[in-house]
Amino acid sequence: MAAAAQSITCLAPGQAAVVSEVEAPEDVRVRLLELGFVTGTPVELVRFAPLGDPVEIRLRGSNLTLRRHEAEFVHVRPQA
Amino acid sequence: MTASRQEPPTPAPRRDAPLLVALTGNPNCGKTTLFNALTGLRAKVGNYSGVTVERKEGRLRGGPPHQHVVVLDLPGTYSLSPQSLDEQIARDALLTRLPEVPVPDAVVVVVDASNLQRNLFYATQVIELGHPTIIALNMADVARENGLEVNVEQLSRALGVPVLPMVASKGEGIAELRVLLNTLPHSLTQPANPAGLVRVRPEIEREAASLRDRIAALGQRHAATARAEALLLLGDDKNLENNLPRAGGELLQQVHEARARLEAEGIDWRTALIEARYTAVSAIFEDCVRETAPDQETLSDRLDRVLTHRVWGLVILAAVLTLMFQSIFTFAELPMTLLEGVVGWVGREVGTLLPPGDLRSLIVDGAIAGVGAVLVFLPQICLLFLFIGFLEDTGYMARAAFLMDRLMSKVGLHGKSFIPMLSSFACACRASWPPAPSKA
Repeated sequence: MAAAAQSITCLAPGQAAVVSEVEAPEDVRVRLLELGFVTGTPVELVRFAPLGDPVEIRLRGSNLTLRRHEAEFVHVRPQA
Repeated sequence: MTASRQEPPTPAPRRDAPLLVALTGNPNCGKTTLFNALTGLRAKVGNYSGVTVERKEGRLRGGPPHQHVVVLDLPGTYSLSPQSLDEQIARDALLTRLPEVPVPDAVVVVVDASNLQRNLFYATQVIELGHPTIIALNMADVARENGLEVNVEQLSRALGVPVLPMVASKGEGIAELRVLLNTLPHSLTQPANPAGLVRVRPEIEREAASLRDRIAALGQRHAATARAEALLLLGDDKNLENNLPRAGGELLQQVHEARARLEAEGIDWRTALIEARYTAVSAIFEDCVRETAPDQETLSDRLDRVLTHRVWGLVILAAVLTLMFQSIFTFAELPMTLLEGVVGWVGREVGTLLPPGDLRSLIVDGAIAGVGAVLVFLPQICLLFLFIGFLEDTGYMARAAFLMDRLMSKVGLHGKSFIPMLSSFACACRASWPPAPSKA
């Protein structure tokens, strides 16, 4: 059963999910898609920095660090 | 000015004009390391005309004397759809839209093997342009450590271009690349099948075809480049008016009409191309990369857990910085005292040579004392540079940036600026030289 979509920043460190969509201003949305956050991509939230920002995400075989306010645009469905 | 060409240019030997190799790739893929290895440290740095974007080129070392090869280091970019002026220049150079940059004789795309899919996204865009292209598969050692084995022959077949594995920071693989570049133009041909790399939906291919014919009619580019340009225009919403090729004014109307037709068919042209490209890139990744140690924690991962830990990470950062600054002050004391002595001695000797008066005062108290006061800080500054270089090379700088980014971004800076900022407590002018250019 598919869980409801939520922002990737709501995941717990180590949790896996699948990208459902990117809701952002157009430039940011295009750039996030170009970085690999295409619908259906499996992702994992690796960690948050001590102050909550930035956030490290694993996708497509490598790690990516995004500022929290940018990562928030990525909506995902958590996996069980 | 290049002559107008309707056909893909045949490699006519230009014995007088130097050959041009464009070096491109994502930010932080080791492109600059490779550029330095290929050209030595004699790069010519200037600006592209009319913009504040750095233009860096150098002559390829070790080549035949009668044929120069110039390497142009383009700004790092994630995509041919630009999000910044730097990326726009990189794109315009590859699309031959800059009057001062001719059609390249070869394009070297530096690909970071440890971030392969993201880098292949850009690499496939460049291959589609149809220039003779080489993939420099850099950081092959990091990929191996992370348990990824790349089948280089398979990747080369899939992309239709030569792929050279390398570790630019250790000089591995550079010799092979240099040989290829020094035997241009005969050593390299155009990519095997640029149009077949990424399968797009037939509706999009149809719209791209008519745009392609009009772009090709503008001349000065390969037929493959025209198709790639057509797809870029179709999907590139930002700043479309400024991104049209020169003399391509009427294209604007045609692009809008093409998009309207696609929208009527229920196709999101903005995302369709990106998704199609990642589908192709994923497939190539599955075919050519083998995970030898899936999800195994490397030493680097274990270190990261401590270095970026909420509490321990900050404690370690404080300790590292304390150690660093304390060392600088301690080790610099002796050289500084010596330098003070030397400056003082020079001042006194010169003082005895000159008659008392304004001239002596100008030279001894002005020039010598003034320059001396600055020189005395040289040991501290050298040590600071040394430590920062050490932190950068071991990779710790990136962890420190990760910890401090939130604080620094509140004042509009990047996490990497933290350590130079701290050094301002020692010397303000040092703090305003960032040790590395800020990258996205």
